[in-house]
Amino acid sequence: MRATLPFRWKIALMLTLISGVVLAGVAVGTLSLVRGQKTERIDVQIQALASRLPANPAGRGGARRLEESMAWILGGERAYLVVFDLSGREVFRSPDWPDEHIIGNLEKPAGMDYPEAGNNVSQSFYGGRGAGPGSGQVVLEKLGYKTVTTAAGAWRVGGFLSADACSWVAVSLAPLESDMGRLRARYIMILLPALALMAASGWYVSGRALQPLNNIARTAERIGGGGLFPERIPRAEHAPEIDRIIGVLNSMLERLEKSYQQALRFSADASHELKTPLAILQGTVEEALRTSGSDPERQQWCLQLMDEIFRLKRITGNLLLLARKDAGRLDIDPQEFELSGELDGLLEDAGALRDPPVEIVLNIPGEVSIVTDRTLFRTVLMNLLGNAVKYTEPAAGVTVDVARTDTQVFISITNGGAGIAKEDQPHVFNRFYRGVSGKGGGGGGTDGHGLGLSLAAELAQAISAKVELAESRPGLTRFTFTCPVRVARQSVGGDLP
Amino acid sequence: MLIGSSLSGVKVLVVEDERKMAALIGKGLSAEGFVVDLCHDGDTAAGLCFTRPYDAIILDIMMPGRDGLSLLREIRRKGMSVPVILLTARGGLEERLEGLNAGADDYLPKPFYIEELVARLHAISRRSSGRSESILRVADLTLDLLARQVSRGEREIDLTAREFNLLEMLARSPGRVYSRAMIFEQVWDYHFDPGTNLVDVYIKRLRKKIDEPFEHKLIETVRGVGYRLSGGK
Repeated sequence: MRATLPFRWKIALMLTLISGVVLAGVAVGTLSLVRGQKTERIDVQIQALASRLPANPAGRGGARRLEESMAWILGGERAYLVVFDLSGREVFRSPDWPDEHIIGNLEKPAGMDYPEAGNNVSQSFYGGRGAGPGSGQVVLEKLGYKTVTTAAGAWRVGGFLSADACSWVAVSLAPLESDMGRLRARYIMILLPALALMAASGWYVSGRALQPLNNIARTAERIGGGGLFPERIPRAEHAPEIDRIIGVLNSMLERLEKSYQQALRFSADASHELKTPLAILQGTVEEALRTSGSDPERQQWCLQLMDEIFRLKRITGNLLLLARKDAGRLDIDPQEFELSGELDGLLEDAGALRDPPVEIVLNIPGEVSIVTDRTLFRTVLMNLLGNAVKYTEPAAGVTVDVARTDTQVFISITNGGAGIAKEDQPHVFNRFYRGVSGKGGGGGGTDGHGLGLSLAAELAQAISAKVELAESRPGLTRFTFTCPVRVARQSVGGDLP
Repeated sequence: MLIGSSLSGVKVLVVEDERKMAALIGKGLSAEGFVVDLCHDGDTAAGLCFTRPYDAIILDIMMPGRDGLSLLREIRRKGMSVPVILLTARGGLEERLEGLNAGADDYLPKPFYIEELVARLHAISRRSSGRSESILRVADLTLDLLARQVSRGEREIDLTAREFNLLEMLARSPGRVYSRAMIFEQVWDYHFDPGTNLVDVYIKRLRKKIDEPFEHKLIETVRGVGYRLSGGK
C-alpha cells in the first residue's frame, strides 16, 4: 500500500511552496528594478562625466588637455576614458585602462553604430541644442550605453560623439554588484524566516482547519468501540462548511443512539416478554405431560408440543443472543481451560450428530491453554463442527487442525462433501441465509433456521475471534476459527441506562 | 424418585408475579410432595418469609414493587439461611453474579422445566439438611449422585460424564417420557440445535452399557416421541 502524505502536510507544504515562489518572484522583480535604477543612475553619471570633457579632444593638444582634466573630471570615480577621432584613430586612453577586452568590445560595440556621416548629425545636433562650441561645455550626442562583462568585472560603458571625436567612458559596476549582493543577502535573510513562518502558520492553520474533522473521526471511533454514545461531535463555528457536516452527523448520531437504545431495550424487554409466555407454555405442557398418565396419544401430543417449544426457545434464545451482541451487551466471562479437553467433548458430541457417527480427526500440538468465554467459544465451535458433520461425506469425515502462536489459536475445520456453491459463499455468514441452491451444501447453518454460521461468526467477534470460510470446492470445505488466547472480561449491567 | 427422602412437609414459598407461572410451579411442586405457598409480589413475600418458617424460597427477580434481589438481601441481612433459588427471564452474567453475591443458592433462567426446578430443590435440601440421600434407584439400577457411580445389581458400570447426566435425568422420573429435545436441553448446554441424532447416539451408547449385558431392559423407546426409563414400580 502506498503511504499517502497526510492532508495537513500537503496543505502546509503547498502553502510554503506557493508563498516561496511568490516571495522569490517579488524579490527577483525588486532586485532587477533596483539594478535598473542604479544602472540608470550610473548612466546619468557617465553622461555627466562625458559632458565635462574639454571641447575638441581630438584636436592638437587635446590629449594633454584631456589628461589634465581627467584628474578633476573623474575625481575619485572609478571611471576610465578612451577617445577616438572620427577616423577611428585612438587619441586618448586612460593610463590605467583596466582590460584589453573592453577596448576590443568598444572597437566594435554591438548595437552602437557610428553615425554615418559624422558631422551632419553633429551639426544638426548642435543646431538643435543651440549651444555653441565656445561655451567650454561640449554637447554630445549619445551613442548609447552598454553593459560589458570581462574577466576583470562588469562595466557600464557609454559612447558619446562630439564634433571631432568619439569618446567612451567606462565605469566599473563592481560597487553596484556589491550593493546588489548585499541587497540579495538581505532578501534571503528576510525570505528564509518568512518561509519558515509561512510553513509554521500553514501547519497551524491547516491543523486548525482539520481539527473538526479529527473531532469527527475521534467521536466516530469511540462509538465504534464501545457501542455507546457518550457525546456529540464538538461544533466548529469557525468552519461553516464542516460545521454543517457536523450538524448532519450529530443528528444522525442522535437517531443512531435512539435506535441503539431501542435495540438495547429490545434485548432486555424482549428477553422478558418472550421468555415469560414461553415459560408458561412449557410449564403447562409439562404439567399436561405429567398428568397424562399412561395415555400414549396424549403423551405424544405433549412431547410434540414440547419439541416445538424447544425450537421456539432455541430461536428466541439465539435471536436474543444476537440482539444482545448487536447492542454490545453480551457478557464475556473468560475462564482458563485446556483446549484439548474441551475439544474432546465437543468432537464426541459433534461426531454423534449423525448416525452412524462421523469420524472427526483432531490434530492438536499438545497442551494448549486458553482464556476465553467458554460458553461462547463452545457455541462458535459447535456450530462450525455441526455444520461440517452435517454436510460432509461420511467417508471423508471431518478434520480439525489446531495450531497456535503466542497470542492466537488457529482452529481449522475441514469437511468433505459437495462444497458450497460459488454464489452462496459470500453469504454463508448472513443471518437466515439458506443458500441460492436450496440445500446450499453448508450455507444454511446446522440448526435448521439459518442462524448457525452467522451466530458462530458474530459470537466469535464478541470474543475477539474470527470465523472465516477459508475455501470451498467440491470435495473440500474449510472454515477457520482464529481465537486470541486471552480475552478481557466484559460485563454489562442488568439495568438499562 | 428419591429413595429415603421424606419430602412431605418440606415447605416452599414461591414468589412469582406471573400468576399462571406461579400456579404451574405450585402444581408441579405439590405433585412432588412439597408444601407450597404462592405469592405474587415482593412485599407480601417479605411478610410471609419473615413470619413463617420455610425450607426453601423460590424467588422471581423481576417483580413489580419490591424486586427479588432486594428481598433476598434483606433475608440474608436478617441472618436467615433458608435456601433461595432465583428465577429470571434475563440470564445475564451480571445478574447471575449479583444474585449469587446477594446470597442465592441457585439460579434458574426462564423458561425452565418444573422438573429441573424440582431437581435443584432436591439438591439444595440435600446440601442444607446434610442428609446423604443422594442415591437414585430404578429397579436394580443404582445411581450415586455424589460419587457419580452407577451400578446394576452387583456390577459397577463405567459411564462418561455425559452418559451419567443423561441416565440421571431419566432416572429422576422413571416411567416419564422425554422427547429428544427435552433430553438434549437438560443434558447438553449448547446454544445450538443439534437435530435429534445426538440424543439417539448417546442413548445407544448408554444402552450398550446399561441394558445390553442384562436381561431386563430399562431404557425404552417410545415410538415417535422419545425415551423413558421403565418404571421401577
